[in-house]
Amino acid sequence: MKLLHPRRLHLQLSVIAALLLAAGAAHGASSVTQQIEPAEIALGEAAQLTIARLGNEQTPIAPPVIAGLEFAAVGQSSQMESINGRTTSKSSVIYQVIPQRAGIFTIPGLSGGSPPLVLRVRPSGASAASGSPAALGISPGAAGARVAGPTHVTPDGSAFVRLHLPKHQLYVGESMPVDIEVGVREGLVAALNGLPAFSGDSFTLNNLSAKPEQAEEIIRGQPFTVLTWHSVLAAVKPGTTSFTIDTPLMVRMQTTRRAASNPFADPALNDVFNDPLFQNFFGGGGTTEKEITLASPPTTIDVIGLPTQNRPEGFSGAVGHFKITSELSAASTAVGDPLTLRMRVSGTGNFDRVRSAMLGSADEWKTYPPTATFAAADATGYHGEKVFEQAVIAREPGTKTLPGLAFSYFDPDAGRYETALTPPVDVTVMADVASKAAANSLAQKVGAGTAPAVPFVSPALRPDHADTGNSVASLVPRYFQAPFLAVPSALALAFIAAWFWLRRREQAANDGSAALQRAAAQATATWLAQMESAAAAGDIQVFFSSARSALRQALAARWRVAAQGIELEDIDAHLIPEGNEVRQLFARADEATYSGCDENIGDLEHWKQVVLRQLNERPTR
Amino acid sequence: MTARMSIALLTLALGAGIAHAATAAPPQTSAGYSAPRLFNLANADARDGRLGMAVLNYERARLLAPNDPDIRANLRLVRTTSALPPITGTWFERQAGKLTSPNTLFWFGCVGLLMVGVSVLLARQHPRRRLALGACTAAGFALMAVTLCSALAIWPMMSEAVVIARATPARVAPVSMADPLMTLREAQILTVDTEFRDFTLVHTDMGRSGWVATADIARVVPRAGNGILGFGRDL
Repeated sequence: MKLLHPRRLHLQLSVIAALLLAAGAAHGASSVTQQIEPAEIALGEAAQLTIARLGNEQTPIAPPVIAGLEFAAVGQSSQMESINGRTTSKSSVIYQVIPQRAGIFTIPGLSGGSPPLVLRVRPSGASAASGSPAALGISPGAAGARVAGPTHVTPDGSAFVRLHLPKHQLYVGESMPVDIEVGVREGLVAALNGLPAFSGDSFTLNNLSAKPEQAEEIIRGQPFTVLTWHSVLAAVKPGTTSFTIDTPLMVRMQTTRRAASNPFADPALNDVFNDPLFQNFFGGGGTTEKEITLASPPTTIDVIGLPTQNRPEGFSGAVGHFKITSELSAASTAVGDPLTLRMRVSGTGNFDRVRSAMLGSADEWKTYPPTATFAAADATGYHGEKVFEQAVIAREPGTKTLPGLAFSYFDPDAGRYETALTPPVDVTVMADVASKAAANSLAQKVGAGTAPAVPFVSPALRPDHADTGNSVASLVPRYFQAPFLAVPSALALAFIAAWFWLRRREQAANDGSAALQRAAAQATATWLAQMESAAAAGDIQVFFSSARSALRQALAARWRVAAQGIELEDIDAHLIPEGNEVRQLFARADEATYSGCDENIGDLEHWKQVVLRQLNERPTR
Repeated sequence: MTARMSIALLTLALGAGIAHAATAAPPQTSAGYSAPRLFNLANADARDGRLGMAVLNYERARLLAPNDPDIRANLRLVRTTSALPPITGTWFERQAGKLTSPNTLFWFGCVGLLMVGVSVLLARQHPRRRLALGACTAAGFALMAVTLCSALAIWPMMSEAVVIARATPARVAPVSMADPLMTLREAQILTVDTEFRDFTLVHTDMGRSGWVATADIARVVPRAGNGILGFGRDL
């Protein structure tokens, strides 16, 4: 893991200031002043510290070392004056002060007479006017506060490992949040070869993230990049155990030739001349890399076994601070209709040991094994909520009571077992689903009934419906389904076919009638021709026989009957105009056929006209 | 056989066929969809806070029983709870929604077609009863028109889907790494366009489009693998 954000500008500026001061020829008393602006800032903001020195003092200006404050040099200035051979110099260095936590910090006074300064850093959300320690977030005695262990920097000053623990006494199974900090110096540490690990086997540590938090911190005047892992430590067996946190590192070993030849012979400048950047700048020294394991100072924790006395029956090993609530999916149900019973366990502790059988078995209820889900409230899983859900089904109708739930855990602060209880819940159990729907509807109408525990909209929901059992195989409307579209298609095709069939049938009927008419007309013309020839030949018998046949054709077409079947009775029945003449013609035809006729030839023209009049008569429909 | 007897026999046969199909089509099994069952399921989802599933099942129940006031009331309540706009739609859709279910309207349409066909055929045979048969024809056409209107009103619902996840991003492309364009809320109703692998292109009622994970939405009318217009058999 490469370190990417070095902060060493103040070192370079310190060197430059020292060189400038060393160049001064005059000697004399010097005074140092410092000021900070503003004196109160919020966490996340920065103040500006200006240290100025007037005089010929040659020692470099170094920033103070204060835990919780980071000093970064942002600029420097110097002035030299020579008046009457007396040389005076004035130099100043400006630091940006970045707080790493809220609180009241005192910047000590300098040897030149500058008084101490006070910097107030309030939490990021606090107002500027609240300057009390509480408002500034200073609560050293607060429970759960993680106290930093000692910071032991490696002899070469390249790195350190620090452990933050809230306490040093645990019960078996108890978890506590820990912060593991690894500080490395840019240039001296090439990489982390692995994650921090415990040296002992009495504890377990949650998996550490590959991307820890990263911050800058000044320790003993040196900038360190501090990597912080937040995790949870759990004790697994009793006893007093001392352990360390081991971190594999790859460090660069510097060959410091110029360290022994510090031209100023001032130990305060050793760090400057030993700085790798300084040495590299002047071409001095080589670099070799070496793997080392950096261990934190040993930490001792007392692990106490859980007491065996008064241990609850359902205790599953949960240690911490928990509270429980329960809720039921509905206040009324029907026999055979499942309800969902939920139990929420929230708080802090070892949630992996938070288990519950919930109802287990109940006489009037059929229960199923519960399921559990955990929602962590922080990255470590130390805070969170575990929800158990169990399906329960009423066996018999009536007003039934669902027993309360119990959850037992060990409270490490009180040092005793605790059992949290939820109240029992009354449930109205109907005989069947239809009764349940009716009861819900009635309860809604009268505004009565117990509000269900869970839902936020259910009080206003219309009640369930009784299932009639009628269902469809698909939600697709039938007019979009091919099998059903066959029905109207078949209907349409059938009607179209029937329409064409009827039309063709009518056409066929019309065609038959026309043929008959044509045949009748042809036959009539034949009879008329015979009448003409018989009249010319004076054949009375043939004339009247032909005239009768022609009249039969004409009347048959008019009455839509067969021509041969028309007799005198039919003529009387139809009461046609000129029926008398027609009747006389039929009689004369019979007379001429059977007994001869003495009709005058000259009268034949009259009978011919009678026949023609009847032929010209339009047939009735 | 006279024409009148032929028409009568044809009508009887078709009527019997429709009646048989109408009674035999809805399987009396517990595996299918029914409005009460979907309504109860939606109520359970609403009580458990699964508002997306609740809206989905209410919409499905409304498809089977569009004039059920309970379904409309609960759907309105859940939509209000989800801060979704109330049920809207064109006047045409609202009027169509007040009619009976689309499946019943389908049989209305078939009966209308039957009336039109029979009356047209009889009118050829009985010109003197043309007025009465004309009225019957008009009534048949009216039934067919109502069915057609229902189909047109229901058609957009065939491509509607409901967001069932708590919140799902709509992305610029059908890949998980694509930039999100917007975040769709649970119970929001979308119009489904096309699918690509595990993503579906959707359009909101505001006209915005994006690709969402197919698992985060559910179609109101489950899509079919085959059948007419892509809807025939539920998945």
